[in-house]
Amino acid sequence: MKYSIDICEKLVQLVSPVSAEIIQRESKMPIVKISAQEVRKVIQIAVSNPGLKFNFLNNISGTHLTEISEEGDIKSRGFALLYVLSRSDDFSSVVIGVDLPDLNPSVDSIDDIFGSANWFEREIYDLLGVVFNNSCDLRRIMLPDDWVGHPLRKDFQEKSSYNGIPTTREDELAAVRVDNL
Amino acid sequence: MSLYQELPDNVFITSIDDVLGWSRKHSLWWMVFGLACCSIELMHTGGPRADIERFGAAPRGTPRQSDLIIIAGTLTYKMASRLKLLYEQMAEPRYVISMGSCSNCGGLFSSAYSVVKGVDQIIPVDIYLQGCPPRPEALLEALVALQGKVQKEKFLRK
Amino acid sequence: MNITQEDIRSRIEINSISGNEIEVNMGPHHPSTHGVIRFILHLDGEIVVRATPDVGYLHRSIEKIAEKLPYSAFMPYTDRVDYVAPVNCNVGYALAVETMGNLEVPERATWLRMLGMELTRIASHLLGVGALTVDLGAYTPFVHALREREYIFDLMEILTGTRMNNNYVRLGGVCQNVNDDFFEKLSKYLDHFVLFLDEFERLIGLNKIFIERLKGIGVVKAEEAIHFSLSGPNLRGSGVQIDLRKTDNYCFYDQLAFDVVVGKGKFGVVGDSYDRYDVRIEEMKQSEKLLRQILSKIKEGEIQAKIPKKLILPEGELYHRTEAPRGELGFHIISDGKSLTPYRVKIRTGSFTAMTTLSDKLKGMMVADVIAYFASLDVVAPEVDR
Repeated sequence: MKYSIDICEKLVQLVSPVSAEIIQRESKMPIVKISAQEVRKVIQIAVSNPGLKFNFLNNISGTHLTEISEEGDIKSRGFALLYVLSRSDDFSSVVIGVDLPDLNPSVDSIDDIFGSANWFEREIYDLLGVVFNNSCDLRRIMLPDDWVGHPLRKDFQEKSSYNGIPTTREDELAAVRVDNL
Repeated sequence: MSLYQELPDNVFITSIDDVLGWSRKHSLWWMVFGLACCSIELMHTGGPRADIERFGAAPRGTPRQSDLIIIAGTLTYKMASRLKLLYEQMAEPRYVISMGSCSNCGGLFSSAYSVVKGVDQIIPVDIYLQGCPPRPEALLEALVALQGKVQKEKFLRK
Repeated sequence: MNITQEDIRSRIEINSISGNEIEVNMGPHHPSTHGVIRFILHLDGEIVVRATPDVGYLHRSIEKIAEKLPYSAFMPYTDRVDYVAPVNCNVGYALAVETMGNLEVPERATWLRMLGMELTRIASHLLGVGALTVDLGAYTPFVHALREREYIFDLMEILTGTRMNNNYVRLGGVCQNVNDDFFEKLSKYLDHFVLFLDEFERLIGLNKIFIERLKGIGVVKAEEAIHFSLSGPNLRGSGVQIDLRKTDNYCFYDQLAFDVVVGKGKFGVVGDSYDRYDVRIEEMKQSEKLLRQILSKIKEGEIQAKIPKKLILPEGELYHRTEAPRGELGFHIISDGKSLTPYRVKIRTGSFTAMTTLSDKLKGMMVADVIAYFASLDVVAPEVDR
């Protein structure tokens, strides 16, 4: 894999005075962590600066961060986004991470810089509920338009039926299971 | 004057029910409804090795021209209303083969939030075929089982 | 913050030529073999004014299921991410987990994985090219491709145990070994395959109608391909020389010699649909070369290393990518350091980003060209929806 700590340090240097911190230094993938307001600025520098030139978007992924107490209650800590960018000549890559708050998570959209960003953002909005400001088209992509809820959140509860179709199936083999013998 | 052993070998004596059943079962035209992985095995069943057309079963693209629908793959809630619409557009008598574990009962994706747990929650099914995916020979066996069912039907009576 | 559909519709501008548009639905069920993808086309006569793809009809929530299963139990689900090339997806996931957990893989297992990957790459490109010919109306080359796929399925049955959805790779190696009979059969098949490709080219590749239908259609220039994050044969068809087997050295690809095939504008412009078709045919020839080299280099040895039964990966995250037949296949795995199941698995596929080119490129095309362009991208529905 083409990640290196030198590229991350160069990026941190070139985006100053924006504060950026490198985490996971010793692992195979160091991440440059920035705050949610600086996402557009940092990515624009990463794309246009002649020393960096990361003009290929590999991936945008989102996660719901939670902690589980001893009783099993799920307490939400917020959301995390990860952007993976690469150079188009030798495909070396840099990884940018963002943390978002729990209530009304939102971040600026980058769909005018990269053509494929809109669909990645739509998927994260659909399945996690993160809103992308100034997006050209933010609506559900994977689930039906009348679906309620964001399934990839850790506290998502499945309903008992959807438009009349039940969401569980009666266990036809219940009579012969070990517990019922 | 008796007819005992008088008829030559190319004359059959049978009942009209049997003849109708025999001719109907050898021309079951099926609608291609390939959703997921089982559709690849459906394509291979129509391919050169396990040829489904030698049973008289020709693939059609539209439900208006087909007697049989083979549901090959996982059905999701978003697709479910389309399946109901297509099934209602088929003319009776119509038959359904549910191919693969995903359309039988949800299969590998039984714990998913967006998958219908079995196609029979939406339309009535005649033959359930298990496998993930079932081999082309297994699909041909399901077709032969359906042919057995069609042969026994009393087509003209109420 | 509530975003309603009216807000969105007011922001998308409508570009109408004469105001007499009709709205046509190329519905989720259509006889083309790419799966359940829907287009809403606004047509002015035969010309597309606006095209909106609508996906999600095969969304099987594979990423949510991953959070409930241990790492080694998730392997069968990776088969179903791209069911036309299952071994490639298996290897992509296994490499991501092994890199994160520093697990060793024996040498023979890596060679067997590469053998499975290249054989599946040939089978996948055969289906891609065959489906392209069916969509244009030529049914016979598709049946030829199916016949070759049946031979490859016979070989995969000896190698992995099943015809498709093989579930061949395990964390730390592969699941079963083969003996030298298989290598002889594979070598005999490769001799036949080279002659088949020549016959296929004469059957359809040099056919005047096929060339007229594809040349100059859906031209994607190199800058546009990078802007839309195309990858795999779609990117190389536009002239960009990037192959993840050469740039990210994984498995033993650095010990083998092969060329990176790019589109040259053989009958039209660089980056048109004929180039994407041609790149796939040439890549099959390169895969055949790779398979012969693997046959000469593979040695006896172990096929699976011992990994802990209750595998817990150290805390952290990793994004690992490999070259699948449809583009870049990336696995982003997050582990919290204490549970047997991953915290989050995100799968990034090549077909997902290929779909993002559509709303831009389909404007101004005729309906028949829409089919030709979409078939040349070689998109499968489960990769888009997962």
